Amino acid sequence: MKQAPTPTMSDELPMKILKIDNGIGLFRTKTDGEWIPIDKIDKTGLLKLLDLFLEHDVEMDSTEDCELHNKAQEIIYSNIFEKFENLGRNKSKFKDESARTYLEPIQKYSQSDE
Amino acid sequence: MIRVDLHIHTIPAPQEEKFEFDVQTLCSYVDDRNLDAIAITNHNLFDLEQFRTIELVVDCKVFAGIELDIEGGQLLLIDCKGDPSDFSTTCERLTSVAPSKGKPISVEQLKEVFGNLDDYILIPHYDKKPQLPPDAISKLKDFISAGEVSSPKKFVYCLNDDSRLVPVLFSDCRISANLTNLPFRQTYLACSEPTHSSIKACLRDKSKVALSLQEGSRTFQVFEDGQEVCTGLNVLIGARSSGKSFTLKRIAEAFDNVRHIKQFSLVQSDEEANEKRFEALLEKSYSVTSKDFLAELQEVVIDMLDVDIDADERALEDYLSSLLKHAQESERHDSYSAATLYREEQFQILEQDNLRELIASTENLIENIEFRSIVEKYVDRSALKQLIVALMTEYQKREEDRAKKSWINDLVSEVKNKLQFQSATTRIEEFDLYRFSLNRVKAEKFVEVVNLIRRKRTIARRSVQGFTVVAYTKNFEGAMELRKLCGRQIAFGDAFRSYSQPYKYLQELKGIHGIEAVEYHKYLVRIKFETLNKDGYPISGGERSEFNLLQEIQNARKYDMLLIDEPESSFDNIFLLEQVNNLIKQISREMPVVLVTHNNTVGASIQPDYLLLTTKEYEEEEVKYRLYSGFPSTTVLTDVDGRTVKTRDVLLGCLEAGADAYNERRITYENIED
Repeated sequence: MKQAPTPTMSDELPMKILKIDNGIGLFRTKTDGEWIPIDKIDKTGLLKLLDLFLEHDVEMDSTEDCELHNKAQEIIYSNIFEKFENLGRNKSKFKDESARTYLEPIQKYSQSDE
Repeated sequence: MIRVDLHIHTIPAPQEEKFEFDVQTLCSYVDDRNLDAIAITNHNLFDLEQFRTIELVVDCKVFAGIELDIEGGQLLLIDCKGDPSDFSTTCERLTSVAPSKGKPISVEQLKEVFGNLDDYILIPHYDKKPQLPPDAISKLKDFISAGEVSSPKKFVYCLNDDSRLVPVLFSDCRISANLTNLPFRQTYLACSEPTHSSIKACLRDKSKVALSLQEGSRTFQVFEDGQEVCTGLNVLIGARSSGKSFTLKRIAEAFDNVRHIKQFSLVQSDEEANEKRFEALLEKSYSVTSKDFLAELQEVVIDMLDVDIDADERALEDYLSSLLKHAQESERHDSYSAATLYREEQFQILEQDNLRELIASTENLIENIEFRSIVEKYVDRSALKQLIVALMTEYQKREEDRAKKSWINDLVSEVKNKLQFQSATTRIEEFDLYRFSLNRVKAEKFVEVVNLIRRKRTIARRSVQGFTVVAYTKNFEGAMELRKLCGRQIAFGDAFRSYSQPYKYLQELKGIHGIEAVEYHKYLVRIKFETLNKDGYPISGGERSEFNLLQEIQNARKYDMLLIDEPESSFDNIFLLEQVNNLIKQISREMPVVLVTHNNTVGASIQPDYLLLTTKEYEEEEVKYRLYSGFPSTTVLTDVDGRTVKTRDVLLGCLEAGADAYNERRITYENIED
């Protein structure tokens, strides 16, 4: 089963956030959390996926290797998968850019009294 | 001694306010100031016909001249050949060399037009705007010995500095019927005849130029009647209602660029208003401190203007609902929606800021001369060059990639639009997950920055004349403070409710009509200034007035003359003696100061360079106001009509309440001591 490429951030084991099980697309938002069908995903779920994706090593099943039986699920799963895959390709750049964001002001204003 | 004014305008320059020349005013000016010579120096032109008229009616020597715009400054050129017709013809040639009308000429063009410059007197704007640049002065150094200044202060400064040119002070006035306050800016030259050669000789010698007929450059004229004051410290004394403040007002009106500190102006009876005014003064005086401290915050806020988390979340919602709807409609999918491009994502076009910065840093390592030896000790120069080539190659490759992706994005977008237009299914909204994520990071870091900056801390501490001005950060405490900062009738009540949530608060500020986006950062944190006395405690109302006075005197340095009216009205003697006197004394070494007083601490202890006495005398039942003056070392003070009063009597009378009171006080002190 092909895993979407995400850079290793630490020694923690990658957590799977998107999987295809018996032709059903599923997502979960915490380790050992319940797997939920992808067509039930809402905005909050998507935001949780994004936080997990950015802060941890994650894995996702690719649609290239597993077929989804339900057409609607296939559309949703592949669309979301592609979005995260794209973001994953730029994850190191994103980390760099995030780290640099407002770095100088934070350093300046962290100093104590003159 | 002769008195000259070699800088007079009779024709308005094209760019300046129009005026109509009045020959009668010129005659009055020459008579009233007892001028021996004048020069007509209009901007970039010489009017022969008008010059002939002036020569005929004015009762002094009149020189033909011109004021030239040259290399960004101005230069007076006065003809010494004594042939105005020839001078007029020469000036007409200016139009053929000037790059365009009204544009300055170069030194080379000046020489081209006027030929041998020894035939002229050249006087540049020296300590006066627009100043002739040092380069141009240097090119003309063989022909220039004197420079024009704009005030007695600058005249004395040049006179005392060996490296400066011989100073001359001229009126630079526009002669029209409206010229009511005839100027006092003229120069005395130590020669007997106003000829070209004698004037030229005087302009080479600092001992031969003066501001006053009798006193060299120790005094200069301030009133029509010939009254003079000295170029250092003048103390003006006199009984109540003898005309001291009135005299000061007249001096202020007769000169430009005068700082006049009026009586009681620094002390207000309303303590609250005084405090507010003082706070505003501090904020203005130290605005650079605030600006420097808030500079980075301002950049952050400007960057945050494009971040709208609510809009981002709406876009996410739209994306998700359109995706779900699109998926639910799978049975309605047609050949259009089945096409891969129908759901194709846009390529992300990423900025290359990181790489650009890396290239710039590497370039800096290669190009830096100051630290080259250190750099080369650790990094091989050829390796650095290889590195920059590799980085630039990568940059080019990525740029090419960006260009391709951008082109493809346009194409995909166009095809998608057409497919979606034809298809019966719901289109999936665009959504940029990268931008969405980054905006969230920005919003979080923005909150971090604001919370950091809002920590109460001292950001600057400066000692000013025995006081300490401290700048510190502070949270705004209410909408009123925001309104005060804004200075307009804008309601901040709703916005302030979100003050503790910086991101939300910024969104509220964005919604307020009337404040500029570049100013938002000022509403996030307050910079307060506090002045502490020498014991480190916040200053009292009285100390605040003292600080104000010292600041005002200090700030007067940028003016040409300082007038102070009775500082003792509001301050105690120790403060006056220890601080004010010292500061006034210092400033009077740089510029003329006239100090009105009737207090002996100020008047006598300060040891003035010149004394002025106002009196109100009754003659044949008529009130006469008189002004006596002289150096304190002289036994008498004299008025313009030659009347005298004894200096000792004046000092005792005005400063010690008379000789008897003085003796009584002296004996009391002696008895106490014994």
